[in-house]
Amino acid sequence: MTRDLLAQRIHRFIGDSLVGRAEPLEPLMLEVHRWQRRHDPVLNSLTAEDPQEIAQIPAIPVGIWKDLPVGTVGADEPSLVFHTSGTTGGGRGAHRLRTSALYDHNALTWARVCLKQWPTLIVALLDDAPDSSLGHMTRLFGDVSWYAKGGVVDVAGARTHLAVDWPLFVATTAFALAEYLESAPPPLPAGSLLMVTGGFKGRVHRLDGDELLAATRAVLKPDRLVTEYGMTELSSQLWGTAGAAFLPAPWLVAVAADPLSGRPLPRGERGQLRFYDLCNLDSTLGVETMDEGTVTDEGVWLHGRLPGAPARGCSLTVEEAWEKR
Amino acid sequence: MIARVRAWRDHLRTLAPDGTSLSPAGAQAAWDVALDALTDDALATAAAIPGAPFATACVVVAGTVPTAAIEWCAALALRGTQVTVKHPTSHPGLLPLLVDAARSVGLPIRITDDRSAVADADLVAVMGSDETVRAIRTAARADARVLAHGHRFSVAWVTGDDAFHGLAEDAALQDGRGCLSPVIAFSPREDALERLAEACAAVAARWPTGDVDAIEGAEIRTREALARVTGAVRAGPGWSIHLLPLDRVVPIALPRSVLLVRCDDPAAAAQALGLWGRHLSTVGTDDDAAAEAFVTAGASRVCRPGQMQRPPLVRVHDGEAWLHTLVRAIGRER
Repeated sequence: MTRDLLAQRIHRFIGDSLVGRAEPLEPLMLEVHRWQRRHDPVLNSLTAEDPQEIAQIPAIPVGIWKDLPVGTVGADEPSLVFHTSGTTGGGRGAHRLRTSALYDHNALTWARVCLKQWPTLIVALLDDAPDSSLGHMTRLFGDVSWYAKGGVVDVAGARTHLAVDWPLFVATTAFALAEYLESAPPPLPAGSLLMVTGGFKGRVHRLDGDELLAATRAVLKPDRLVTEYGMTELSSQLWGTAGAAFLPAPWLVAVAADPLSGRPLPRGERGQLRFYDLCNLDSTLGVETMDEGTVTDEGVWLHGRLPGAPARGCSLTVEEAWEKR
Repeated sequence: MIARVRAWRDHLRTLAPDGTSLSPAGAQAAWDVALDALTDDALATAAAIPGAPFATACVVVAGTVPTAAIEWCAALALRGTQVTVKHPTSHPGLLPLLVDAARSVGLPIRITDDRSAVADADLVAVMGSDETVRAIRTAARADARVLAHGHRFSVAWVTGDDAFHGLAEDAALQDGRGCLSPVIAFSPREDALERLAEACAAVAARWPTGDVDAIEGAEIRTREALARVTGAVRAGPGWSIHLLPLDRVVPIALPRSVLLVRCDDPAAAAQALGLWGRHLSTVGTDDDAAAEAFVTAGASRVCRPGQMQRPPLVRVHDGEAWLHTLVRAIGRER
């Protein structure tokens, strides 16, 4: 099976899965995994036995994407590269795709399922970074105006742009939203949709997730407030609303694992989240996050970063080590 | 006062340390090591250091090196200083044991989780992150002496057969979370991975690993994946060794998990620490010539493997004769 044939099958799966007539997911994922193993030395090194089910496919920890060339795309091949933000230190990880076709198709398809429709004039409290997967996804949704630079929100510019009387799509990270709210802005135009994504990743701020969404409702009064869970290492996204589970697409399998042993946990148990993303054809299906969540029939409940002891001794932790380099 | 400190030490020896994240056997080992340092001779030497004691001291400790407060309390109390130990909120660990024992022998030691205690002290000693140190400096009185011991790490350079067992003990005490725990072991030995694995297995059988939290577990498995691709892994119940190439060195403390690097040249090993060398505490080595490379890189203490976690009371710590910092030096000119 070639890469192009697998891409065609995945493309077909995306459409067919929404009308209940897709081929079985597990055999397709296992076939993709075997193809990836042949073309990715990193994945091959981490695969002890031929997996017989999805949960046996190695999930590459996000922490080593910055250290190793994960995926099937060679460094000298033409590719679209998404880089991680590097907020946890130690350099930036790279997610290489030969083309963005699967990424774009699945992102738009699942957004249409979850959001139905949205205003196509977009105000993004985001950097216009060509290597940002979040920026790439946002561009798919409409005509974007960017209001952040170097991670700092252009509050005045955004406020001016938002002072209109037609509906807008506001795309923002949690941190940027918190910063914007501190300016006591007026409500968004009627009919607007606000999409918030990402946590604070250790950046100090006085609002936690629930408080942030409550403050957003109170101050910005968006007609629709949606939450998005995505990451550079994934091609697919999960969508939710405040207080509800995130919905993964049918081509994205979520698993909670025991963070100590790495063993998958039964559905409904809280653990370290892993995702198996069929659209990660060019990289690797399995991605292990540092987030904690619970996978249920309703979707994925996100609890934030994996918990650690309040005090971790007097030696260096991961983030401190990189800060002190 | 020195007699009371001896009585306190002897009373502590009769108690079972619990309330820590260490396993019972691991906690007992850490407890014994901490009390072993309080020899009669060491206490006498500490009491004889010239200078005037501070009236009050506040010692701010990290929660997961549970025995760290013992030597501070001993060294301060034997000079008559009233000691308050400030612990992380809701994590008193072993401190109630220390205080109850101190009360029974009449030593002025108390504990609190209230940071405002810092403002009342003439001397403040703080162990913790840069953020904690900054906060404590701000909270301390302007005229107080503040001794800051930020987060540090230690490494080992081992060559001989006997050194591996000592190294494994050093890595196991405090479950590897202390600043004296060897987070990286360098060795020129081809069989270093096997030798260290044998030693770690033997030590783990004696001192099982305690609690490991979720983020630590995930970080260990992340580094394990890196080692599977670029090096090798040996692991047993609660312990692991990740063999990585020299250019993958990152000095992270992970419980009972040692980063092992095969290297023929101690200078290259020390150089690989780069700017992290500024935060290097101890080098444990059985090769005196190799030690100098790590001293040049930033280490302030050199000892044998097996002694890294067993520092004597009278020593240099973080580049200072620490006992001398606990009193006010007096110049008497005639």
